[in-house]
Amino acid sequence: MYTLIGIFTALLSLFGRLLYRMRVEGVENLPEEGPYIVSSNEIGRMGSIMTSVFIARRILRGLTVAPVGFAEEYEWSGMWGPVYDRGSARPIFPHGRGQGVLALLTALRSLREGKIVMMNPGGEMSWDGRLVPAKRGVAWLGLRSGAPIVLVVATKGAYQVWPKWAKRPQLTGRFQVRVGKPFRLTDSPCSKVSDEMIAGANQRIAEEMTALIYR
Amino acid sequence: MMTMLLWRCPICGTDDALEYTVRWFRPDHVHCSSCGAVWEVTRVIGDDYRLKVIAGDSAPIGLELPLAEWYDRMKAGFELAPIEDDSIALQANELLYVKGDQVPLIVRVGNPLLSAWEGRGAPMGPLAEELSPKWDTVGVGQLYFTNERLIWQGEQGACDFWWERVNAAFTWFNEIFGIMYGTTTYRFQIPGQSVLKWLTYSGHLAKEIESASGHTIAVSHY
Repeated sequence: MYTLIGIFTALLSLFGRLLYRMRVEGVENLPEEGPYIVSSNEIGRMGSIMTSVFIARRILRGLTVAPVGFAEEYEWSGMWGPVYDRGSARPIFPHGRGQGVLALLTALRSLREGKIVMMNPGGEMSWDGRLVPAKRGVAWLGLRSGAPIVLVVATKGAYQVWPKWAKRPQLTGRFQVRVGKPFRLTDSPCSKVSDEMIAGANQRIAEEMTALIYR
Repeated sequence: MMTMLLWRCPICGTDDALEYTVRWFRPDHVHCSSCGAVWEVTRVIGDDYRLKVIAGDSAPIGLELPLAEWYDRMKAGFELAPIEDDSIALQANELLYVKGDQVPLIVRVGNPLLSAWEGRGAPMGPLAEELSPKWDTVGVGQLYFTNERLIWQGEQGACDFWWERVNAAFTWFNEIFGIMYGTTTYRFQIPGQSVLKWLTYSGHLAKEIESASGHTIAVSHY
């Protein structure tokens, strides 16, 4: 199973390099071990695929410990599922409310155990190529745990290669995968998190992400 | 297709009026069947798509904007507008906004709708937790979007999803509009229409419901 996933992700990576001149910048910024939160943007299908391919290949080659993935069920049961450390985490349903809270508590526990947690701030793919406003999850997690956040993003050209509204990808285009330097939302774990703190943290995440995507 | 994003004309505001035409070796066109506006589509490699108005009696000829800005213009002019349809009986003061034909109702395996059909109220859960839930289709029918509820009407019967009990509205890939009804997820596969249209109607209605009753419905970003 892992061999098949390894071959498939290698082919996808080659496909990205040949068709879109895709390179990965800032690989050295991705720590080998946790605790940290790895977050991605979702401005287009190809960008989401290639950031996942990058992380999956790192895991399969033993360069990064498998993160606890918090994702929707199709990612959970699909190809990426076996790659991640599923532990006691469950798939997240869109706007699952109570289920989302349980997922966050599981993620917090995982970070305290020194694991890597993978969760996206927007939680869904953008329709128009612009960043989806961050929801509360990653900000809350970053503030409560004090763990650093590492952004793995696809640059803006990834939207045009395969927007959410398109059935098939374009065979031309150009984008990169960029790994940002780890940053913290707080110097030490916060025992209480207010709405103002969440808003401030989300602004910081958006600024860091924008700088990576549109640089 | 781009008309999934631009599901209404940003110039005349008519729903489902835009058509996309692929033109080999020439820029593609988007055409409004209502006002006659025609856009030329250009891909800017590494950036966004750009649309330039090239024809239309009341269209701003020559205006060229990124697709995202046309999308903003489309949303800026949107208002909930009732439509007439004789195929459904509505309550007093209930307004119909959107209708979909041949809509499969998809539920998680274990949902009582798959085994027993009692009354019109859709089950609100909870269902047994599963790591990888399986989904099944109850049937195919009409879906009506009103200011009070979603009504799915198939051969098996009719089912009401009252907005005051809906906790979330979202899209699933490009063809499915979904709701979290109580704690149970329902999916509607909408053929021939943009799911983004249904999401936008949900988003606007959710704001009205929140200001009127305080009930919040989390709606996916659109």
